Order: sequence, then structure tokens, then C-alpha cells
Amino acid sequence: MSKKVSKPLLNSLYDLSGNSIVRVFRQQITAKFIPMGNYRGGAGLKCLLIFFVLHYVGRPLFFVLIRFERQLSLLYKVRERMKNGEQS
Amino acid sequence: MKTFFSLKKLVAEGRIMAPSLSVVSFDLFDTLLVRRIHDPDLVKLPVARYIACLAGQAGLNWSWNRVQKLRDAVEKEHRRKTGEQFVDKEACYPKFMQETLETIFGEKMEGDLLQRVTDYELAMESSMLVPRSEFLDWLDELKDQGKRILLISDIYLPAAHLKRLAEKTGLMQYAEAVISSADTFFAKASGKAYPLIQEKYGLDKSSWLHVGDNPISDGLRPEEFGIQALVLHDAGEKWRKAIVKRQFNYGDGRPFWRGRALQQLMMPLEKENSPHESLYVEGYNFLAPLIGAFVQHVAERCRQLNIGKVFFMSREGWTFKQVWETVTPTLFPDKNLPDIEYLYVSRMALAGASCAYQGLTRTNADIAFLPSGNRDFSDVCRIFGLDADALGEHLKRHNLEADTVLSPQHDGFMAKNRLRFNEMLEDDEFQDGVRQQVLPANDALQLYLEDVGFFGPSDVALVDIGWLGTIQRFFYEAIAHRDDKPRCHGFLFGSTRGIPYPTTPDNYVEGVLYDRNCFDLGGSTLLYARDVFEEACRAPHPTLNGYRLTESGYELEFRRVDDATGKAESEQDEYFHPLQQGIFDGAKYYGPASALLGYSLVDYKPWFNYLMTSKLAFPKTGEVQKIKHKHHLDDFHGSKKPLPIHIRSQKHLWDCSALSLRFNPFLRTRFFLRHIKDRLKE
Repeated sequence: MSKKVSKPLLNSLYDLSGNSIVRVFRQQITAKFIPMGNYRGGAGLKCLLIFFVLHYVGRPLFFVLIRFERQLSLLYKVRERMKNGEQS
Repeated sequence: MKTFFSLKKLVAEGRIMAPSLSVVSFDLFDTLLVRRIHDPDLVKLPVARYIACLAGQAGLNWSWNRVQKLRDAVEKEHRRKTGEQFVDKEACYPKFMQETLETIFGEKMEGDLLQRVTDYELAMESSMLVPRSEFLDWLDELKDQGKRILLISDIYLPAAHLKRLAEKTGLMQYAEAVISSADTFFAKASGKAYPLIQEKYGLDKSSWLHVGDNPISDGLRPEEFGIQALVLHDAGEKWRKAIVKRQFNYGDGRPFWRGRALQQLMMPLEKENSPHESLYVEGYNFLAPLIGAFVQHVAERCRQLNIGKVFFMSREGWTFKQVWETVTPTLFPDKNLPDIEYLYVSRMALAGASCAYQGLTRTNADIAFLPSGNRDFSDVCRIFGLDADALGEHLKRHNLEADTVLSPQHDGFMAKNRLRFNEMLEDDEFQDGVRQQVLPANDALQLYLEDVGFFGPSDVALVDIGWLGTIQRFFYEAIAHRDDKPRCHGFLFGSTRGIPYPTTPDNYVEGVLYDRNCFDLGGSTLLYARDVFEEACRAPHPTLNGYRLTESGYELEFRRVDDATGKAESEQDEYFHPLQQGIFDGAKYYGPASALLGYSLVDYKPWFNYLMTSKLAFPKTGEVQKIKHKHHLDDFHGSKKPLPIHIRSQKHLWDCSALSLRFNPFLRTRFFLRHIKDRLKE
């Protein structure tokens, strides 16, 4: 019997099979020390951290957040208003 | 009204309720169907680009942003007018799109324009929609139980359009009807749709269940009317969309994420996302975006250069052609693309034909000695299709034998012999002998090229995988004597330019993913595993050995498949079949995803640089084990053993053993530093 490993293209964390955010993270860190090519600004530490949290903590996070969606949308509106106020 | 935060729980509740129900109505979007993209309005953007493109062809100056702005304004006005007569401020797509197009095209509007735009918009919508697997299973059960199933949506698309989308996603086998607010302007939002549907389909309110995702339209309103309702607030979907949204948005400021967003949109969802073997996953997640972007770039260049026909060179061109046929209809819906043709060529087949008029040039002889397996004149004869015995007297005249070592990579090499060989190349009698031998092959090639319409257009594109551009070099030399030869624009997946290409305005090559002429460290990692790309893209037919004149015209001579080399190649093809299938399946999603994003190769390149560096220069041990070819066979390369020092100097990361890859510390880093050094020295 052949031992062929089967896996889905998109894993259960909504990340790419064989090319997860951890790999991107690791490679971007290495690129800080060795020139690895032109990434036109690279991934950005903040973006990487957000994606790391989203992929790995997203499931429990959204399980909780979805229950307070209405309240949260009010908060988002207040934040938007504050942002717009700052801009004007 | 009951609210559920998980689809599984909602369906479980629905199953409990099912015995008392006679009809179940479903909201269509974000309930039965989910979109790959987080914002449904983004599907409108490729349509705006298509309209702008058509307007440009009609001589009208409309940018896609302006088209989109107009569409939004017309739709808004339609909604306002509907609001004067109805409670719901709905709009109907055929009506507002007709007005939009009339405003843009005026008298230049063609009769079928609305239909073409509608078809494209629905195709784009359809490519982004996926049915929820749990709902499909439940629908199956409901259908078996004899329940009536209705699909209801508050949207600008009329029911006829929704039906097309539902049919594509397989929902129409369950549904009795599709109802859209765009047809009646009675929507779920106000609750007016429910009595209308009850009357039209003679439904019993007490045994009617409605399922949707909007707490007002799908929860409160049906409940007010006396219908039971289940509302889905899917945390999983919210999570998935949060990821896609950020990948899309971050791409605006950080081009690195554009390619990642492309890959996310290419991903299968729900039942599509079934398990596949590792090679398929590598084909889909690694090679498909690279090849898709390569083909998209070639198509864009063809449009810029007004190229009349694209020739995909065998054998890797076979895969590129399949990908072209898959991705271009969605990426370029205006169909302003050149004709395409698959061209049977090979270095071995063209090498001889290239000598028919110019003779055997020194550069071409140097190319023959590049592979370390080629050692002497007999190898030159094998490559250029020459009869060594017939040229024996010329060899003798220059104090050479057929087996005199002419390559410095082999034992017994003496520089004076190579000088003698070079002198022989300047000998007119020798060159006449060469020309005489290969002329029939060149004549047969001309007949073949005339047959495939090569000499018709003034500009043609020659698409190949790479690397030195030898195929195009030999090819152009074989047709250079003709006055009707077209301008040849060569597009290579990767161009390594080991020997400088004789570039002229009428004949040049351009490396797309990597070109040695432009310093590109990320792209240059292609050099780590060129054979992998060749094997992955190879056509399922043997290589071409040559062109032969026959009584009726010409014949293509293919390599035999029953010898050890042929059998090893078949074995390799079979092993790589899942990898190739992954590329083809990925290409199906590449077109819509890239069309939606509106990006090109230059936008994806930062991510691709990461992808190539990560997969080729810093691969996991398992990846090398899986993707690395078992047999890579090339008749051009010869089989003679070079000196050990030359074998050692050619060792690459991908040649290392699994043990070494797994346990040798900093192995990849050391190879990469050597790679950087080599690139800097070039």
C-alpha cells in the first residue's frame, strides 16, 4: 500500500497548506539578516503579528466576538468617528 | 426567531423541526452560498474594467474607476426612484446596467453589449460562490422528505440571473423556485416579500421555515409575518472573511500581500477543499500561481506588442498553453488576444536545422559542449544530426578524430585540439559538408512551419520555459534566411543567459519570472531546481528528434518510448501527474482571482520572490524529497563522465541527501550565501 499523505489545500486555520504564516514569519525574520530578494517593503511586523493572531487565535476569538457583534459595531462606529474627527 | 453561531447547530435544529414543515425557504447569499471574497462589491470591479476596456476599443475614454462611479450613481438613482413607489429601495440590474452602458457608449452601443456584460458579471459572481457543505447535505434530506424548497434573495440581480448562479452551484436540483427582490421590488428587508411569496406559491405559514443570515430580513420580518425563522451568525465565516479582508487591504500599502491575497482567493472552500496528496498540493499552492502569472504577463505583453500569434514551444509549452486556455477568458473577456498554437520543437530537432544555411557556428558548438556529458565531435554530431563518418576527411585534415576530447571538463583534454576544432569550423569545405547534411531537415521544418501558419503574422510570440533560449536561438537561425519570417518575441519562464543571446529588435528573449539581465535575487532561486519546473510542465508525449522530408511532405520524428530512457520518462510523468493536475486545477481559480484583484505579475512578484526563496532555497526536507525528480533525461546532455572535480562543483542543495538536509546545520544558509556570491560575480 502506498503511503501517500493527503491534506487539504487550505488547512483548518484558513492558511495555505505547506506555506503557513509561521513560515512567512520565519523567512521575513531571516531576511532581516541575509539579503533574500526584493519584497518591496516586505510583510511588515504588524501585519505578520495580526495574521499570526488571526490564524492561530481566530477560532476562539471569533467564537466569542460574534456574540457581541452589535455592541462591537457601536464601538467600531465610535472609533471611525474619532478617526474622521482627527483627520478633519 | 432562533439565532445560531454555528452552521452545524442550525442544521441540527432544522432537522429537528423538519417533520412539521412543508416548505423551507433559504436566503441565498452568505447563507446557502458563501463568497471567497469578503466584500461582494469587489466583484463589480472586474466588470468595470471590462466595460472600460470595451469603451476603449470603441474609441471612448473611460477609466474603470469612472465606469464604476457611474454605475454606482445610476444604481443609487434607480433605488431612489423605486423608493418613491415602494417601501424597499431596490434596483434591477438589467435596467440600471442598460442605462449605465447607454450613458457610456451612446450611439456606439452594440445590441448584445448588455448581454455580454451580464454574462461576464455572472461568471465572475459564480466563480466566487461556493455552496455550504452542511446545507447541501440538509437540502438532500429535505428533498428526499418531499419538502418544498425556495431560494429568496434581496439583491439587484433578477431571479433569472440568480437561477443561473444557483444552477452553477448545483442548488437548482433542490429548489422549486428562486425569488429576487429585483423583479417585484418587494423585499425581505421590509417583510413585503413574504406575503407575496405565500400568495404566489400557495404556502402554509404554519409549516414554513425561513433560514437566513440577516437578523432583520431573515429573522424579525418572517417572525412578524408568522413564519418560523432560523438566523445564522457563523463565527467561522466571520473568521475566514477577517483573514481575506486583511490580506486584500494590506496589499494596498504593502505589495508583498497582493500575491498572498491572490492565493487565498484561489483556495477551494467547503466541499471543494477535499484532501489531496502532497504533490498535488505543491502543484496548486506553489506552481499554479507562478505559471498563472507568467501566462497573464505573456498575454499582457502580446496585447501591448500587437502580436498576431503565440507559439507554445514543446514540451513545457504544452502546460503553458493549457493554462493560457484556462485563465485568459476571465482575465481578458474582451477576447482581444492572439491565436495560439502548440509548436513541436526541441533543441535536438532544431540544432541540425539551424546549420542548413549558416553552417555550424562556433557559438553553437560551444553550446553543445556546455553540458558536461558531451566530450567530443561525436557528441556534436549527435546533437546537430550530422554523420561523423561522412565528415571524417575534414577531421583528418585538421588532425582530429571523432573521439578527440574537445571539452575541458573531460580527461585527456588538450587546448590545441579545441583550437584545431575551431579552425575546422572556419573551413568552408567542412561547412559545405555540414550544410549538405542538414538541409533536408531544414526543408522539412519550413514545411511544418508553413503548415501551422507561422509565416502569416508580422509578429509572433515564442513561449518556452527557459533557460538559455537555445531553442529560440536555433529556431531563429533555421528561419533567418527567409524574407517572410516574422519578428520573434521570446518569453521565457526564466532566462539564465549562460551564453549571451544574439538580441536584435526582430529576435529577442525576455525572462519573465527571472531574467539574468535584471538583478533579482528572489527570482534567481529558480536556478536551484530548474529541472523540477521542466518536469512539472512537460507534455505527455516523447521529445521530438527531428523533422524529416517525405514523399508527401514532412514528418515529425519523435523519440522512441520503449527503451530504458523512454520508460524512465514515462515513470517520471506518472509520478508528477498529481503535481501537474494541481497546476491545472489551480489555473481554474487563478483567472477569476487575478481578474478580481486587478493585479499583474509585477504586483505579485514580491510574494512570488518569497515563495520561490522559501520553497527552492529554504525547502523543508520533505518537500525536496517529494518534488525532486527521480529521472531527468535529456538527449542533449550526453552520457560521458566528466572529471570528478566538475561533478563536485555542480552539487546543489537539491542534490543533498535527506539526512544532510535534515541534520546538517545551516546547510541551506550556506548554499544560499554561495548562491548570492555566484549571482554577484555574474
